[in-house]
Amino acid sequence: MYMVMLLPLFSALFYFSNFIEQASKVGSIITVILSIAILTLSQGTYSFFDINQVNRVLIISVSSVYSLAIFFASKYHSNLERVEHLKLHFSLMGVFTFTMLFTLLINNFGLMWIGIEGTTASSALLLIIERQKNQIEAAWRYVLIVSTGLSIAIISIILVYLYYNTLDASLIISKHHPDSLLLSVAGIAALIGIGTKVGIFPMHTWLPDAHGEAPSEISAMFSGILLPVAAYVLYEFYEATYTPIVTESFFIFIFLTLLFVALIMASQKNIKRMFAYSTMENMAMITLGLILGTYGLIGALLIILAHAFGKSSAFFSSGNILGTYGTKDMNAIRGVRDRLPSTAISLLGSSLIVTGAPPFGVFIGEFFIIYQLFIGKNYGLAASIIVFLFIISVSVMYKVSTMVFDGNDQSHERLNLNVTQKATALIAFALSFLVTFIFLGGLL
Amino acid sequence: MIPTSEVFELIAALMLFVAIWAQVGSFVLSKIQVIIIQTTLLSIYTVLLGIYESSIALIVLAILIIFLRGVVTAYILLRKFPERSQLVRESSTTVPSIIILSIGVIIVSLVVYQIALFPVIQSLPDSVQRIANPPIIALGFVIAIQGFLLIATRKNKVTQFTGYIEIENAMVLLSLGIFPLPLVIEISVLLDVLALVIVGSVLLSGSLNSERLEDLTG
Repeated sequence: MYMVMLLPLFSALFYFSNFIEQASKVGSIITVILSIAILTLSQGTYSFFDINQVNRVLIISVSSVYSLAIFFASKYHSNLERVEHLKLHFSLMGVFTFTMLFTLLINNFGLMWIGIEGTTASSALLLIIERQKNQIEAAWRYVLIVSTGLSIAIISIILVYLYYNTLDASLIISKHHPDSLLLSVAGIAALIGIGTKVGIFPMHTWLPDAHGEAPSEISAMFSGILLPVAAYVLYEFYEATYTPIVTESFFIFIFLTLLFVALIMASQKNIKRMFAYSTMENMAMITLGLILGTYGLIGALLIILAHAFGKSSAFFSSGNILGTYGTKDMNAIRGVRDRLPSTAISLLGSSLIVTGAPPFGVFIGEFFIIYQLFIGKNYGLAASIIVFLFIISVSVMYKVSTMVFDGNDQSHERLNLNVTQKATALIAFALSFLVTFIFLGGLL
Repeated sequence: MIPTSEVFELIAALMLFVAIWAQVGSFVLSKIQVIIIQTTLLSIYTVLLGIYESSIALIVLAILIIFLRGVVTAYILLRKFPERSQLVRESSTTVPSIIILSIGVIIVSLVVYQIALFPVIQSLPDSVQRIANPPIIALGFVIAIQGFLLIATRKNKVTQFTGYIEIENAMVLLSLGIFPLPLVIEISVLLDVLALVIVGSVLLSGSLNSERLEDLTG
């Protein structure tokens, strides 16, 4: 467990050598293997750390996406003018991964907050590898909005500490608490504060900017693993503070998030911003599943895994398209099927996955969550969510299929793309597809 | 002899006045002075509370606050200024309307506190109510709202960052007014904020103003 957490940090120390790329690749693969080995550990508390049914799934997705991102970045940024920037990039990716794993494993609400704030500090500079004006502005907004939002969550920590006289997460969650005004305020402060990082409307404003301007592998890490880690922290706070008012507030904010995404998705022109808004939808569903529990929890875990790989594949594919077409404008991207055949497969496949098309993992997960809503007699919310998900799905698939299938004629030649870049996108797509079978095989 | 509680309330009220000064001033350099003065006041508050409650942890926290936030943070931000730093003004300040807005927000914040948050304090068990200090909590809440206002109404990045530091100072004040967090958590929060200041200072390179860019819309 300690090795899983510390290996990415150890890899980051190779910044001072010329082997940072190789060290990061080897380190990331070992991290994946060790994170799978964590499944053999029994759930419970280990000194300052905690293993539970949610965070062990997230640990696997964090380490796997980190590994894929390292391989993708090694080729995606190979033309970078200054080698120091790339070395720093690899190093910061290691630190960023360490902060996420620390946040997942630590069994203390205060230190969990430190970890999630640490992810902001360690990841902000990953956005500006090319030092472009847009990237610097997006990174600034990311740091300012997220940090300010997270400050509100400190109120929640103070009130939780006041109520329980401890910040031990597993101990607090194991206690059953009565309805309390104090905990209601704590829960709502956590929803607003940590919800900013999760991308809950209306605190989401940093998200499309950061995802849209970040290098593709960083967009993949943000979307595929950082936001689910934040959703996990929000879930932990929810477990400590839930009251009827808090639950209602979560439902309202999730409803508004899905409504907002459904309304804005059709007007998107930038491929990466489109997937960023899609992430908001996925995060809303993950958060909903986690707080609903039982079938909802199973659904959330399925979405976490399938979405981590699916969205990574979508962002890697977007990066391949940006690298070859030189634009993020979807109106200017046509004929992907003939020009970039492998990217067409990964883009189309991953889009189907993240929009919840059957039979992929996200679809099964969403089905479970909606089923749980029906069990809880939340018919109105369930019906609204079905409509919103349908609109979002149609909007994304229309745009993606237009890019892939329109404008294919014999006059266009195939575009050159590095094998690693193509393979990473396809592997991420294949892994996402595999999640369905892992679930059906009873391994999840 | 002035009652101890009034000394604490006076310091917290001074912190609020400093926050209003940040709203009014149009020179960017004054924002860094705001950080230094407000942090010093917070540090004095913490050290007095530490002496009053015979808590070494609070005295250590006070020293760290003044060093990490009052000295290091201010130094990092000052290094980002051009040589003739006195001349850097905010381009977007409309001082009279901001004074009115700021005072209006203070009144609204206090009303919200009285209606929504004060009942929460009253609902606490007696043992906790003896520790909690409602005037300090109210002032902490109002300072935090002033920090949000500073971020929302300004384009200058240093001013926006001052707003963020104000919010963090308000959170420490809230924590001290309600129920002080364990020292390890308070120190970690301070270090985290320092890390963000360092990262933020890198992002301050180039334009000091936050801009509306075509690619970042929609």
